Amino acid sequence: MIEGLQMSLSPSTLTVVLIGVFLGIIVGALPGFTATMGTALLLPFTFDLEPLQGLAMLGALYVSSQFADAVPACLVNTPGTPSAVATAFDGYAMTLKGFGQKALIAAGFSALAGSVIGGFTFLFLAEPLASVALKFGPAEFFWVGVFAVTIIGSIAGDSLLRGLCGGFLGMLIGTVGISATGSVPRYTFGQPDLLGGVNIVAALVGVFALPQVLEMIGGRKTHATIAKYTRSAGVALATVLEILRKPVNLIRSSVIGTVVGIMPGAGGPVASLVAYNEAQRWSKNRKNFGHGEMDGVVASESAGNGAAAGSLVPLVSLGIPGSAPAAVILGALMLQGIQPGPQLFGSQPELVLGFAWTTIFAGIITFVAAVVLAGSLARMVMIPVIYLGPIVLFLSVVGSYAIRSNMTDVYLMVGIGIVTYLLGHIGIHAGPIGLGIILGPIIEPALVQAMSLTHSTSIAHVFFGSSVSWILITLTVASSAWVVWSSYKERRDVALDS
Amino acid sequence: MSHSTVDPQDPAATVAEADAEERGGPWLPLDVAAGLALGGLALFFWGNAGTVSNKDYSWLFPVILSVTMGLIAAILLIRGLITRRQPVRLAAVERDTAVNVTGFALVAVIYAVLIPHIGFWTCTLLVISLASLVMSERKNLRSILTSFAIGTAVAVVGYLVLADIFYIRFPEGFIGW
Repeated sequence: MIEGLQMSLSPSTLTVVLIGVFLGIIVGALPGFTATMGTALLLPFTFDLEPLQGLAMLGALYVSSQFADAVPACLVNTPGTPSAVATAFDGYAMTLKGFGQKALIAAGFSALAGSVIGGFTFLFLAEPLASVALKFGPAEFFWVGVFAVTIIGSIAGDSLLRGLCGGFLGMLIGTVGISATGSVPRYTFGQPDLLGGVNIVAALVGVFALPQVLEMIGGRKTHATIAKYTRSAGVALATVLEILRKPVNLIRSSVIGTVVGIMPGAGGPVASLVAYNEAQRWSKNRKNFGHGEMDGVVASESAGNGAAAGSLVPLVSLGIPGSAPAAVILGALMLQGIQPGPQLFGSQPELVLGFAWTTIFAGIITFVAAVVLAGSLARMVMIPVIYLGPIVLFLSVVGSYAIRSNMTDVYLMVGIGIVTYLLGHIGIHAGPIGLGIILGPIIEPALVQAMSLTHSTSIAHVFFGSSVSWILITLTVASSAWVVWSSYKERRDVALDS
Repeated sequence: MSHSTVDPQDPAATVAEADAEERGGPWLPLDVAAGLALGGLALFFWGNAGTVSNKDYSWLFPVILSVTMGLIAAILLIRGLITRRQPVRLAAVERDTAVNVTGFALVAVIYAVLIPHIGFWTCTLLVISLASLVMSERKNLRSILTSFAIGTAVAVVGYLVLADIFYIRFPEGFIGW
């Protein structure tokens, strides 16, 4: 372990970590640009580096992008990557109240906590946790997805039923195109451009960014800004101390993120949403969630970064990437002639441990960058709406086009954006629709694969045959019961008050 | 996004209903509006779905989703007709707001349609400049120059970062930029 620490502290390694962090902040802050794209673009530049340095640069980009996606989420309600969907719920509300700088610092510090907890898990528990992750089959992933659907209870707004429908609509949007399991074209209406389906990132940009711009434009006055920016001294220290006064939320969310990140296929978006849901469930201020509660930002961001570090655990210990950026890092390992897997801990322990340390250092550097940049970034809200609106439109078009270099994604983004704006005016909010877009591609393949298994055995055995399934079912039932009970209690309290 | 819970007996809802009726415009209870919209969408997805068989589960997930969505839409519709709360006023949007939103949505559509023909960066420069200018209340030399400067800055900085650093190729159109 000390050898790994020494290697990661070498000036050349720290320099590439700095470069990775810098590029990750750019990639994360641009709506539509993902850590996957950033790591893929950076991959060719790692060929000539030492294995640890190549991995460190890619890992640093991954870690810092998980923080930077909070920047547009907090400032213009547009998640930089799907992992920041939950960050936008409270981060943007904080900005509207004039606390944009505080929201960004909270995001940076939470990202640091997630990286540190995820990184230390990587250092000490990689092997045993990775073997647990292997117990997850299609049915277990299906139940993970169903459990995640209960999050709609937290973000549905004033009606759970409308929220559920929003979630289903998001999942239905994700079914457009050739089915991954049966190669059948669905909802393509003979249009070849639709065979490739609706890209998740383009759909999320449409759901969150365009309706936001239309809201800004609709309520604008001449040279109005979306919020006020007030410079406040000592805000970084005050924010960190405020977060540390509630350590349970920070630690719980980081652990949730790390555990979800270890499960291949779930990733940062699910981690941050689950952590947000749990933060709200256990908070004394649960009514403030969605209205600028800093704990919401803390939960989402710490889980997102915990998931980034967690997804590297099965990568190095089993050779199974826990997320798409981890898959690119797997490619980098293989290009360097290194075969990841259990034997890697025995043959090159300093490489594995050095890599784990660099993800922690990347988290620290990212937090420093967040403190330095937060004030300047928060000033963005002072740009008049008549200029900011077209700029966000430009970024939305770039973000949806750049993923696949396909204009169809841009057309779909615009269409989905306009429909989401209209649905928002009849009480169907963007949050559940975005959640459905994220969860659909996780739930459907798991459901279909599990159903295929029922050809050789009974449905009950496939879906209810493992202890992991039963744990997840119990969590789902408990979570649903809590949503119904808290909704009933809230209605009763309002009735009593009035 | 609103996260507040509204009680059926919420006095605010009653006030809103009275307000809607006072204005005289036609209105629908929110649940009825949502039920109709979601029911329509559910019908669209269900109607265009294929058949589910034991050999191919490709349509299983969309069918489950659309049928469940349709059922919830029906519940919303019935609940809305019974409770008649949270009115959505059909003609309640202020004219300026409607013009701004419709105008900007049209700008977004036109931007997307023109990109492959004119070229991404040229189109960006034109659309951002024109959109900013159209939304400015005062159309004078200063606002024209400011709008054009912002459009140019976004296009040039965007080009340098995205095309030069990230090597992303955007549609060039007949202008070639």
